[in-house]
Amino acid sequence: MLRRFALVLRVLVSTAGKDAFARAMPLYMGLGLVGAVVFGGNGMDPARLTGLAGESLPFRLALWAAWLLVGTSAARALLRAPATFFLRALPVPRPLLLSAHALLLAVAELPWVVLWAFGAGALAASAACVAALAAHCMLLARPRGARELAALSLLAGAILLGAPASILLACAAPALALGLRAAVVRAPEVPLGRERPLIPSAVPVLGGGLVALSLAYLAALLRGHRAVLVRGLALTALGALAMAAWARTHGPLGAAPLAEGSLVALAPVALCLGAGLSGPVLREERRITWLLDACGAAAPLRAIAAAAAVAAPLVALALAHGAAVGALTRAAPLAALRLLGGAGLAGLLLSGVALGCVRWSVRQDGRDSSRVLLSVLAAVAAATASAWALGELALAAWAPAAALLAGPAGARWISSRRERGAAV
Amino acid sequence: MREKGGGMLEATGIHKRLAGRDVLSGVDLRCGPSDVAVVMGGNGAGKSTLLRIVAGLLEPDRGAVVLCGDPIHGGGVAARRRLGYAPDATEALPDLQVCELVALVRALKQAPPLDRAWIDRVGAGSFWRQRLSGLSFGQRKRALLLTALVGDPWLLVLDEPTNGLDADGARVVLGLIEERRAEGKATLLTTNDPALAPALGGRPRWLSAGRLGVDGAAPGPEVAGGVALERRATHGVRDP
Repeated sequence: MLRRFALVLRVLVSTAGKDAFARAMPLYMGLGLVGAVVFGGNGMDPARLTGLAGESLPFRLALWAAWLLVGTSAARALLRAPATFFLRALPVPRPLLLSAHALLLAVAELPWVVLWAFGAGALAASAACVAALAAHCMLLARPRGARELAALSLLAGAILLGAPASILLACAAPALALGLRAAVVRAPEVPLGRERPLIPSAVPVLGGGLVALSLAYLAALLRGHRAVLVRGLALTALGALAMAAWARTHGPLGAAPLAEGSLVALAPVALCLGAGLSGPVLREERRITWLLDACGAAAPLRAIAAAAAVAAPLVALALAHGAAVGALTRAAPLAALRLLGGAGLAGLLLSGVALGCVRWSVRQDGRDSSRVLLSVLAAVAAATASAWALGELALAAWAPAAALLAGPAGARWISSRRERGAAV
Repeated sequence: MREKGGGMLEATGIHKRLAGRDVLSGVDLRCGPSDVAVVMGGNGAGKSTLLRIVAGLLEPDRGAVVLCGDPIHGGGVAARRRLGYAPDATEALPDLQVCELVALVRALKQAPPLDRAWIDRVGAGSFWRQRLSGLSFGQRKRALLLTALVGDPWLLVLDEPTNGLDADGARVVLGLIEERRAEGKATLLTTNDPALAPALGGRPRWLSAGRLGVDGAAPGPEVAGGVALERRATHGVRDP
């Protein structure tokens, strides 16, 4: 029995586990870095954070929502990897399959478990692990029927009320049992997806190909990668809040320092989000190479369409950041307009930089995620430092970098270098 | 309307080496108006590679492909607008709906709207607004066939067109090729179905060891894959 379990686990690790690792690793390493800064040395005690989560409802909800958001992509990759579906056709007992999935999902919850273990002890860590596992499974299974809905309500109620660890554990257990089974069983089900078409049937002859291809990538982002967009929204809100807090502690600020601070806060957020959006867009681009080749789509059209698809949501989020900073700092109308313009332009330029970093990093040799992480971290450091040192003039420095990295010439140059590198 | 260059596909001296193996070594293929060229061959013989080269997806190491007087390779788009390509199986933007995929191809080819009658004939009306990821293999094949028909191309390049289709779908493909033949348009297709070539009235050409065999003849044994080839030489592919 144990040997069979180990075998199933090995198959899951080598298929779904690899994909989940690639998706989660950059995010978890980022969390680790933030954690080291916040909790390291003379930093905050984890008990203060978990204690605050116990006392304050809004903080507890924000913390749980943030973790559920962060962990969903790894959980989805573990549960919905098509390469594992063949196991269902083999005589593998259901409990064996469920426990192997549960074990891997628990590994994906490790950062959350570590926070609660250091902050509130072993029992709280176990309760947080089971509750997060149950919540992720329920999220992916989309509960149906009275039993699943009742179990979900029980779990949600326990989290909302800030129940003690033992009660949270008891309330989360049925949700985990039902949610895990439902998530594993329903994983191969594909939703029909009958939304309104995004690509209009009548596009203008001039530039129609560019519009249609950009919209195709955007449709893939909106339908297949909503979590990235939601994470982007959360990151944007976090960046705006951090900027507003900084502005408050530094007294009333003029328009120029406000715009400068806004760019410093926006740069890391925009680059991380841009990298998150670039991955799926480049994946789709690779997927339809045959179609683009057969239709004779020119290289500049392909490069600009990919850049536009990454830039559109990023510019929207950057504008939201500018508007939020303006509102939170009660900026004068002209200063608010300046914030909005600077943020929009920064979003556009940094989307190009992020796309270039990811295009350079993705070589499908198993080391893509570490290359993405390193290149994006380097870009974050350079962009933040330049915004800090140059203020709004940094936009002028980012413009050539974005044009070079995301433009047709840059895309061609990166692709040719990448192919040479892969060949070596 | 008579096409430029007399309406002709000419592939001459096609060489392609993949993964250290000569997949194609000096393939010549000509396809004129109303021709149906059927390429057969064992698994891994290079049928799909040949079609991918003709459709402009792969560059040959040596040789050239000219369609209606315009070269397929070298960056030009004129020739590619005159051909429609449907691969055997592929993941084409799984999050896109069928109508969106057709609109995308139409925009890229700068082609007029697809006739609604074609959508109904191919049987795509029932899943027109569904995402590709939610379709069955056969439905996806029908969707890809529809994208190949966008712009009413002079040459249709079909990789295993009846593979995975139900009987009705196979009939649609055969009827479509017949209709196009009557209009003076050409079709190049690969298949492993020995009954398909005779049904189309085309001459099967056997691809083996990187070379295209004589019309209707399989190089080597007459029996391939346990199935005796029915050889019926009719009009179709012209000898180079």
